Amino acid sequence: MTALRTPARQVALNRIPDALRDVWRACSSNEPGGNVSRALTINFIGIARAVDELELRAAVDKMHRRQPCRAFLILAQDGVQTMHAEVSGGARSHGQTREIVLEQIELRVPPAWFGNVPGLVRPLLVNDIPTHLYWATTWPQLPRHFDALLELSDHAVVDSGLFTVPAAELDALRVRQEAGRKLTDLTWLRLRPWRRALAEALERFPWQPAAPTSVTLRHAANTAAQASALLLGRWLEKRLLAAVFLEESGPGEQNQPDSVELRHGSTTVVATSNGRGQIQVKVETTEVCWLPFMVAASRGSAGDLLAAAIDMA
Amino acid sequence: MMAEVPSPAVANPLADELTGARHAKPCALVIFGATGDLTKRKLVPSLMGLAKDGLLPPGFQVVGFARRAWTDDSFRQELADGVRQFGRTDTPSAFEALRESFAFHQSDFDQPQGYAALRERLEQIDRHHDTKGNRIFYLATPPSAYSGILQNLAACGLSKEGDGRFARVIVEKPFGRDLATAVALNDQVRAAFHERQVFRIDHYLGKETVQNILALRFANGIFEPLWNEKFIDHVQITVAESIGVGSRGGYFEESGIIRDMIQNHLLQVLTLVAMEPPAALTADAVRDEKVKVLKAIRSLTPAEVAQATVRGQYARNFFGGEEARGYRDEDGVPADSTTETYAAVRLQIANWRWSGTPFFLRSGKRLPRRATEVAIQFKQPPHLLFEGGRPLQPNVLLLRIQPDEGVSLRFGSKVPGPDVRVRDVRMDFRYGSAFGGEHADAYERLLLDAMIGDSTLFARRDEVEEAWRIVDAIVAGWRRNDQRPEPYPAGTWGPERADALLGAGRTWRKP
Repeated sequence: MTALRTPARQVALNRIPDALRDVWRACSSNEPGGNVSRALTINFIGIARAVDELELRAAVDKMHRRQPCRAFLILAQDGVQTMHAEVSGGARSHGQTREIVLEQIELRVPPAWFGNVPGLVRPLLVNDIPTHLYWATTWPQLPRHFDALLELSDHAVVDSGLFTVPAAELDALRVRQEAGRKLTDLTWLRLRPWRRALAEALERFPWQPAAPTSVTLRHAANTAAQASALLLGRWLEKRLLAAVFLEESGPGEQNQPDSVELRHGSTTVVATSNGRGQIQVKVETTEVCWLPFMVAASRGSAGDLLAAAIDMA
Repeated sequence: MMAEVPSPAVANPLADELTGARHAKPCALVIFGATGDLTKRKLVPSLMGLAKDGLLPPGFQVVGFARRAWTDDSFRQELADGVRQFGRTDTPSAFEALRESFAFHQSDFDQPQGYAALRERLEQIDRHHDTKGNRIFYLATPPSAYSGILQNLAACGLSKEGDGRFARVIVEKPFGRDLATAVALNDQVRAAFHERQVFRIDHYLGKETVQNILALRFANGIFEPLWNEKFIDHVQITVAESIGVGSRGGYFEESGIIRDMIQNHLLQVLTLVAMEPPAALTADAVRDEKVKVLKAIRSLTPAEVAQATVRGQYARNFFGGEEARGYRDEDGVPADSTTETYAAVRLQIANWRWSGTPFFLRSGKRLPRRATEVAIQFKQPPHLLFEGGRPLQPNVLLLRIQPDEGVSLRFGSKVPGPDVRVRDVRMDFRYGSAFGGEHADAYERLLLDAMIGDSTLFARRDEVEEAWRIVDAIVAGWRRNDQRPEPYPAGTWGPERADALLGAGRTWRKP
């Protein structure tokens, strides 16, 4: 199986459908008996600031290998006066057959034009396949922009690690989830090994519902780690009815907690990131001190997690 | 963030994090025959694939058990090389992170002291890594060693379960070489382990595309109403290999294609295609239905064997740009060998769903290309309106298991123009396009299932024995009829007589 990419071509906004047909032609094989078909399984709308363009491209590149898609890459860019569009495509060949696995429409949008994006995207969505929105940027200053795109989509993916005021913005997200919107937070997916590690630790001693439980979560002083600690803390508060305390451990780049210390009666569980992609968990009761066990921490890139989020939706 | 003390009692309030996903409990894996190829090429690279995906349980440890005088270090080095050569992307780094979890234990397979020492070692692992007495024993040895291993495991108490501990044994094929030896082997296994502890591995069942047969049939409403003798003319199951026996001549000479492929892989695939919907996707519900299919296949009489089977043996030919050796010229193969390298079989499933619809199974070496597929060929429409009433190409639903994994449906479509002409077109689904990325190896799925204790994708004793009953009758018929393999040139689709097996109006597919 070999891959083929067509060069990106700048087009007027009203000529995007023609450009998509050109992608089809460019992907067609000239060989006798050659055949081309489309293997698209989803529509994908990715939103990022132009300065984060490379991260969004890397994520889409990884995601489309697993989920062939018509992808709208929408880059919010200061300093441009009007919306610009570029169209490109990608195909895989199997013998004489080629299958289009990516139809990419890249839009550079000045902030003032952002409200026009849904109107442009809506008629270009491939019908009868699900639409996934990936909001790969900070929480919007004008939430209606997010809501309008959410309205177009069957499922939305956000990364609360990119939020600037995590506590308030996670609440805004929760409001939408409670209203029935299908939303996945990549930061929550990154916490899966932590959740599993703590669940595994609780297998080692009997849970006494009446015993007091407290949890101290330490995290680096950055908003990504804060969002992560808040999500884990709220979950533990709800599930264990624990008193939860968040502590900043100092400056750092890490986007997951540094450690979780759980006290339950006279039992202590300490889960610590060892900085080498593993979470080390120690469990100590008054009778037993277990040897620590390791759980692999999340090593997936944003693209891996995005593909997983879409798979699970 | 403060909260009240809860009142109701709960076991582990976070337990759903462990049960919701497919997570294995902490355990130690003992690989017997750990210095062999299977460990290096398949088992450890697959374990590292699981590690990469975060699916290995906490505290997971591996003990390699073999006769050679290796050390922990030399064992780890050999495995590291294997993972680099045969593992998925990024698995070498996963191995480095878990390097210390691999240990080597030197002993003969029939030496009781070796097992006493193994037991001590496993108890030490339990203490240090909290593996809770959970053990999996993988028999990656030649079958001749199974007996000694099983007896010794039982004798030193390693096969016992209890107090929440599990002990499981994974047995590699071949599961015997005929019904009698399979029964004897199963009895040996049963003397040491209960059937629920036994995982007989047929790696074909771990393939995504084989598992997809059940999804295709039972997750969709459109296929099942047509999935019977009323609409299906016949089914062809093909496992073709382009390579010869290579260095396995000695082994192959003892088995032949019928024992090596048809008894296990092809009959397993047949059961998935032909089974009734199970009541649930549980191990026993699925396997009960598979066994019913095998039981509905009557043993062929020698006279039927002569009519319903073809044996072939590849002969020297120019193939793939070079002179390919004939089977009898291969190393370890006698010049007068009568072992078949190709077999085609027509089987009838005597039940309401399939009565009158033949299943054609064929497998061979040195065929034109490597391909595994199931072709469901539908009957012609009852009244032929087009092309002057001539029969059109029949509809075929093709399940491609490997390579180019996917599903396609062939149907007739009007050719644009003033004439009413019908041409075949194909609707195609490809795994590689719809679910791109790197897929887990079949062994990954099966090892994880064994750790979890899910035996759905493993062969049960009665399945294995029923499959041998069917194959034994064919082998006995060949012997009785003195039915020798017919030569076919390497790189062709087998002996010509195989075409006659299908009956009038049918042709073998050329995948």
